[in-house]
Amino acid sequence: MMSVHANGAHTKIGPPVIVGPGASALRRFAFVFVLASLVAMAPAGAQELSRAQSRAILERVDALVTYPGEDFSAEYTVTEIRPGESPSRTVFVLFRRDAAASYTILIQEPTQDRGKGYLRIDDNLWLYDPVARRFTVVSASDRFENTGARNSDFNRSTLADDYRITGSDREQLGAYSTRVYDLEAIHDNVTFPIRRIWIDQNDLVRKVEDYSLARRHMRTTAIPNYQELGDRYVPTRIVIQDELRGREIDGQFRNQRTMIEVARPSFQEVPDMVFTRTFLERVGD
Amino acid sequence: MIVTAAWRNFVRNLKRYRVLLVALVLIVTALTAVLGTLLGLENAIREKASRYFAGDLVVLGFAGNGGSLIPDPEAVERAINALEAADTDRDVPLRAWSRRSTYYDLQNIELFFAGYYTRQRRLVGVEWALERPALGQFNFVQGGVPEDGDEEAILISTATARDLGVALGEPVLVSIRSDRGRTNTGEYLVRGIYSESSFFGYTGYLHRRALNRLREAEETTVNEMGIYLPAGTAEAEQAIAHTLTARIAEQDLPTFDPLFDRDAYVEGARAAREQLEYGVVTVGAQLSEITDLLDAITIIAAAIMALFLGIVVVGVSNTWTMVVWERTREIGTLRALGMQRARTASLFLLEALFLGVSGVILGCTLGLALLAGLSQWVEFEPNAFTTLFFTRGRLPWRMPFWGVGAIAALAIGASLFGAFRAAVRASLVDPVEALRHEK
Repeated sequence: MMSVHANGAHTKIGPPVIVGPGASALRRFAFVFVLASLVAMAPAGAQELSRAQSRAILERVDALVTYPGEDFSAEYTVTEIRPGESPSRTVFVLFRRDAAASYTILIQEPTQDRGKGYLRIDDNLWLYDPVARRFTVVSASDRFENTGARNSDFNRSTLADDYRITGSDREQLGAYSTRVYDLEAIHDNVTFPIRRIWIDQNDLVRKVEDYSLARRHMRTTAIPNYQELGDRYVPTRIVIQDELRGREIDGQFRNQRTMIEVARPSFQEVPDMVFTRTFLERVGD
Repeated sequence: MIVTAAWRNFVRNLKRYRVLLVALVLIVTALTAVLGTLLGLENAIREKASRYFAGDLVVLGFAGNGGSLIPDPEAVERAINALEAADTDRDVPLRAWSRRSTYYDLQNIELFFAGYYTRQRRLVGVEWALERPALGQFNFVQGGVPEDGDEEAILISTATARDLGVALGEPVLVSIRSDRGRTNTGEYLVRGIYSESSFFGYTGYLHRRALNRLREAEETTVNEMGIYLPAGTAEAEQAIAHTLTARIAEQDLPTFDPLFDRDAYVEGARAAREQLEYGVVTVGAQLSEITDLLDAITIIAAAIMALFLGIVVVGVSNTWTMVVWERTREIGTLRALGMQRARTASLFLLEALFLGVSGVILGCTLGLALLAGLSQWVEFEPNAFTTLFFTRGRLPWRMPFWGVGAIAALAIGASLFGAFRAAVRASLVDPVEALRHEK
């Protein structure tokens, strides 16, 4: 492990593929308790999980990557890899305030999109176009800048509020011993109504498969790297594989992929005005 | 007698008239080509639009939320049948009628095939059996309208097929955000590929029940019902819209007045209403942005034609002034032999009439031949204009009888107007002075 000081916070940067344990003793105890309850109450599998148990598991997963007490900001680089074409790169700064379910995205690259921004407040999401000087209402489930990422991917994790567990299993995922949960949306305001998530021994999501209502596999997300910042985790490398888009190259089908790299994460306070439309207008101009 | 004399004079002086005749033929040819093209473009765009918008007249049910829903399609069907049945006011023989479910979303309709993808503007749920006569008018490059009740079928355009690299019989995956906001997908077999690469081409046609399932709507949901009118009834569109509205009202359904332009249509969809109301929208209302473009082209073309006609009138006038001056002695002789002033004027006007008629016959023939030849042998490169208005790169044209009549009236009128002053002068010639006239 290597320790550095980033934005005033004591930061531990983990090795590329694995994150060391960093959860508090209390959370560890809670996790053991939940697991023990599962073993005791539902030996046949998670179909037997009560809504409360299902919520407890997902809340724990959410808690590791949600920061209700602080503001979060980071520099994101989204690289879209279309087989047979040159990769395209989008760089933006994300400001997130989980307590208010808000985020602001300011696009830095490509140059022609500089000044473009997104503002999310509760369930409302706007896209600001600095050329037209106009805000457009967009959906959280829309593709982000025509990549494999969706606008909802940059929001705080809300698995417990959005889904319930309908099945579970165990699976070895590379170096990780994971629990696999089948999720079904409990309301309609989600991007994908059916998901499958792989949770490692530290309760970090390592893989997600997203399905349509008709159970069509739409995309797979892998999260190989997390950065541990105190008792919080920030996913620093996310790879999204589009299961429907791709090209056959040299006789082999290659999926379109989106790589998201997160740099310089910070939990420093962000001024309130960053989460306003005025801010996007001013910065965009 | 005077007609024969005028004809003989016309034939004898044909050499003198040849420049005028050529000018007249050219102007009539141009008028025929321009009018035929404009009418053809309008016809082609209406054909495309009527398939896109559920018919030439579309019955919508507005509740004020911007969308349309028809909760009582049986009552609307009775109204449509009543419109078609023999009626003392108006008997409208319909080409077909439609009962559709529609899904419109610029961002969230995606089609996938073998890793390739494309977006659609609109998905339309139709009943193949009902709309076969209209959908059969598509220029299919592969396949055709699916069998009645085929819920696995999808019709896509050549533009979509090219983007996806998909062929007839292959499966495409359609992904949308359902009415409940959830991502849903369905797999459908390509049963037909129609030739279209304008924005009308970014429309997929499914069976109504299949689309409703994909949308997570009730299987019986109907959003729009429409009627396809026979060719040549576009002029009566507004009158038929009023009749259809009356028929709907007879079914005890609340109605609003027919909507004939785009602004009224948009306003009508969003206007607050106490209850769901039914109304009729014409395809012209939905097309007003495109027809505005055609109107602008028509105005420019009309201005150019008017200029040419003006030049022809001046030319005819000058030529006839010369003719009258050269034939002053002849006029004097005829007047001395007892020809009345009115008949003298008629003689020259008849010659002008023969000139006009000859110009119309030759010009119309040339114009129609030009249109037919262009349409048959010239394939235009695809661009924003040709993909929207043309069919497979071919020029669409139409020349109804009233069009030929209008062109003939204009050309002959110009010829007569040009000759009128000279004819009156000829009638006023004093026979004594005329007999002493020297060239």
